[in-house]
Amino acid sequence: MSPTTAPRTAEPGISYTEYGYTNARLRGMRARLLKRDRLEQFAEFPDLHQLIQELMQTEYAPDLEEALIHGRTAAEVGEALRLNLVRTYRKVFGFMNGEAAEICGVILGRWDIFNIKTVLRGKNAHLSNDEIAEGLLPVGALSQADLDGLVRQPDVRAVVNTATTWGLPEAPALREGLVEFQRTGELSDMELALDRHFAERAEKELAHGNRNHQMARRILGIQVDIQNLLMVFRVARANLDASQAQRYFLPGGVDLTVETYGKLAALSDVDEILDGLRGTRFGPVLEEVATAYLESQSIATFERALEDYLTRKVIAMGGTDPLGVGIPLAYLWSKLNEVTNLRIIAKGIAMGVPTERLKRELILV
Amino acid sequence: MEEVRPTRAELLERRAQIGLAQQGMDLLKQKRDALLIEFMGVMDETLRLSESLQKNVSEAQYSLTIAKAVDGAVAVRSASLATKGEIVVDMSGTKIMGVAVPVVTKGDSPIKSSFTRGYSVTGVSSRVDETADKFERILDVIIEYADIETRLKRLGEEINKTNRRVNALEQVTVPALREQVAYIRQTLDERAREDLFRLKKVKKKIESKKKAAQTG
Repeated sequence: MSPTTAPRTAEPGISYTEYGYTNARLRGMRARLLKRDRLEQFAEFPDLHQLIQELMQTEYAPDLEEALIHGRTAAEVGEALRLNLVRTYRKVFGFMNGEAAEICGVILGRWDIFNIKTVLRGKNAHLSNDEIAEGLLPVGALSQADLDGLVRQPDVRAVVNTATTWGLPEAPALREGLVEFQRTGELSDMELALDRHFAERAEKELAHGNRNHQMARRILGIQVDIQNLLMVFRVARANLDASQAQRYFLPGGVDLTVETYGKLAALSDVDEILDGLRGTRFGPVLEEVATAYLESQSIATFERALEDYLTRKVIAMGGTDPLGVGIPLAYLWSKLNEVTNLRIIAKGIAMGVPTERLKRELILV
Repeated sequence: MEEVRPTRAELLERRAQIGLAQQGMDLLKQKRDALLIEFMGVMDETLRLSESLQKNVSEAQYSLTIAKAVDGAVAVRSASLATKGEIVVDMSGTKIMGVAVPVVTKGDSPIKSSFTRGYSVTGVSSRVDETADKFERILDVIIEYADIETRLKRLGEEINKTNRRVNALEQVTVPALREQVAYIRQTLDERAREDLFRLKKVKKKIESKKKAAQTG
């Protein structure tokens, strides 16, 4: 058996680098995304029922119809949003030109890592195949059928062997982590190897090429920088020493070099780290939420601000690139952001989160 | 009323029993007061822990809501599969004012660091990680709460038991004994009066016999 990868081929008749058709369709789809004022209006709904009614007038209707058979709670709305995201991504990959599909595929490879980790965790915890399948999000290169194939394996070792037999790009990292897993029974080393492998591979695949590859490389670089930056805060919180912190550095960033990471990770508190970041692109982003951090003492405050920054950056890149990969990337990001915003609204309304607090979690672009 | 032999020996025995019951009652009252003092102390601690538990639970639930909302239930679920481990709790016992209470002590703290939860922290958002941390803090408080709540329950039960004993002595046993004493005394007095009356009658008869003999 070999993996049946998700559609990554261009529409017949479209050349590998022809962005006209792809971007025209994506611009049309982007126009149908929910606007800022609509999302703000949704956030003010008093109950979930009203939100569901409004969403039934949008492109989410078929997914809601499918998911709401099981109930009308925030969990079912979340499931509908998940189904819609998977369906939309597959549709987009179905008509993308070759180069866009290849570049977006590299960026979305993060989801393959996520899915493989979920399968490994499920196997290690001896969960049933159905329970593991509930935690998968097949929007990367591995299709639902591939993931089902991995889920059917009896244990962690068999998953690694299957990935090797299929020749999955993640196989070397899995084999590397298997040795430590067999010794300790812990998956964290294998997971770290997978994350590092993804960052290295994506950087390598996007390193050479035209301006489209360079744009994707920049986005990937900022994403990796953000991961490393958040790791610095976590290292400070856990009082880890600098040598241990180096283990968690991911390669492929654009601004945060391994040396800068090492220096920041050696700092003992958040204020010092914020001072150390002055003058970098992330300095103003983090300064803006420093007061909120002081109130909450939660690194998640910084994480959400950095996610906001990245989302706006990618969407802005799309606006300056009408005939390049910027539009496909911006669409994928916008769609994911829309789904996240709707999920926050649904969950927030269901749990009675105050409207103002709920709106603060949204990334409205 | 219990069948009582109205004898002087019985009267003395009943009086001794009343003395003993009162002594026991005083001792039980002292025990109850001491237990109440202990109970109030444990109650304060229980309230403090209960408030802390409520606060931790609501914070953790809120974090979980935000994590599920922003990262998605799928991501939270995946991270939850990675965490394994057991909570070690030591059980022993101690006595407070003669009341046996269990003592629950934590083995290793259930609070882990981001780097020891079983997943690689590079692939898990800080929202999910902080949610895990908050739920671990709940576990930590729950173990303390289990210890103190059981202690409170046992002390409460013992206070109730002691109260019931005091009430039984005060309102049933001692009044019953007093009633018996009164009955015995009354019977003995009556008997004494009868004896006196009989003696007077006999004396009178003897005297009238003597008089008849002298005149006859």
